[in-house]
Amino acid sequence: MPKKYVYSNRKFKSFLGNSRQGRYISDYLIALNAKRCVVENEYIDKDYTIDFQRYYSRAHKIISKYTHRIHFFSKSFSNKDFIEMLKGENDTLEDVLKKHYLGFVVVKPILDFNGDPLIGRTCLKTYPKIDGNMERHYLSSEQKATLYGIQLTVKSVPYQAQDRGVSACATVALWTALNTVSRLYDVRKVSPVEITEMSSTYPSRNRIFPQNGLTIEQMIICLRSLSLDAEVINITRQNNDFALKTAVKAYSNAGIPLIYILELIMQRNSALHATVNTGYKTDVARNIIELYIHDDQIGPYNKVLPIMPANNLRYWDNEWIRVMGYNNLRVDYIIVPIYHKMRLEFNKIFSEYIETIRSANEQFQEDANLDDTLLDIELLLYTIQSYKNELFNKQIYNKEDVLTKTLPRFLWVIRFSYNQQTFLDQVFDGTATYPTILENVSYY
Amino acid sequence: MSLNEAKRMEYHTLLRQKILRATENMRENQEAQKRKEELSAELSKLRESDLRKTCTI
Repeated sequence: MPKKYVYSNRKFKSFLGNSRQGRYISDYLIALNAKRCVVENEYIDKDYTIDFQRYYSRAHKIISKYTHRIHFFSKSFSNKDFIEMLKGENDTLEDVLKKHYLGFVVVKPILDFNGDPLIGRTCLKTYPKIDGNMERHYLSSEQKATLYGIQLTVKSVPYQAQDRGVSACATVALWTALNTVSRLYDVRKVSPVEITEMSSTYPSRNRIFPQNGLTIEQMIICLRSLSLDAEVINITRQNNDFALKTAVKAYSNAGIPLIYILELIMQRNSALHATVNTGYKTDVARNIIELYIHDDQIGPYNKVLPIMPANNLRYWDNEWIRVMGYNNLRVDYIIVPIYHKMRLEFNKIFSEYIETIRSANEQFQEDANLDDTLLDIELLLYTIQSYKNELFNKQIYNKEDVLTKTLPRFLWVIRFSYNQQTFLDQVFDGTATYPTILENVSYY
Repeated sequence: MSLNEAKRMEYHTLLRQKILRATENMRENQEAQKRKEELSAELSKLRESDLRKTCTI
């Protein structure tokens, strides 16, 4: 009897389990047109191994140190084809697998309170960028996986469900955020149990393990333990969601995830929750119309709509409202993991941006030949590499001088476009204490 | 260079002048500076009590 590696999409649910996250991921994979999966048994997942070593290995119940890793593909192939490829008797399947790879899900040998397996490190492909006349923008980086010697890659942000033994929502949110910025900031990746331990160096009333949650202060301490800093944006007093949308667009442009601190309200009870921003969708006019989040209680790239008719993205409409019966879900704070050299704070550059919009609109309204509704002003954060790389492919004045100019590692850019054509970038020093213009980059 | 390109460049120059004038006006405007400071303070305010709230969900 040949070994069984390959399964059809009818088996996805049995591998992923019946937890909320397992069901969400099954549906997500069907939407991505997943046809086959390959199951790697006895897979050693680094994050789980550390959690196992620090927590589960000392439990009375015998728990395996191995996980299952399930790889998904959008192309049909048989178990026989796969075995032939492993034996070196099929030259074509390797390329097919690489081309149609949708990512992987680690399933832990830990069960939740309903007896369903916990979802571990998960890296799945995102939906396509173009959606009619709208665009999806995702944070993602190349995630590598080796399946029996085959090098596979998927662009994704790692996700995992919470595990009340070692990690509640805040720990998982930090884990996702730190995984996302580890390459950008050159910081080591840490497992959920390590995050909980680092955060708990600052005392709180809660037990450390099992994990019942972290305070905002503890989350900040965790980031500082890794030589990073945290910027906390208070949007509780904002009448509209413009600060939130601006922060999402600006930081996502630099590949930096935002951690949302949300208040969930059910009748008279309320509780705080933490999730991570992993993308957003824009309409034709480049306005943000929905968010994508990694929610450890729902799943990866979960779609968040604004509560209608106010169209305000501080108030969310997703599974917490539609399925789990909460009355209200509201963003109060945003925590941004910051590299210490990013000294120009969001609140300062955002205030500069708001006043620039006000003054520019006044100038345009004074001129009868100009339509101020066609003026679009964006605030974006760049690394020097990504900004120069973008300019390299644009038609700008004094291109040689601009490209060869010494600039700081991080740049804030206020970008001006008219009728969807960019004509000016005001470039600010991201490492300065106060907003300082370094360059006005003029487009043809 | 086509006529359209030349016109666009001329137009963009006009737009840039408008923006540079706008930002100059903004920096000289005391009211604008005050509003900036207020908004900046509001966005960075973190109450002690909120710092100690726990994300429990």
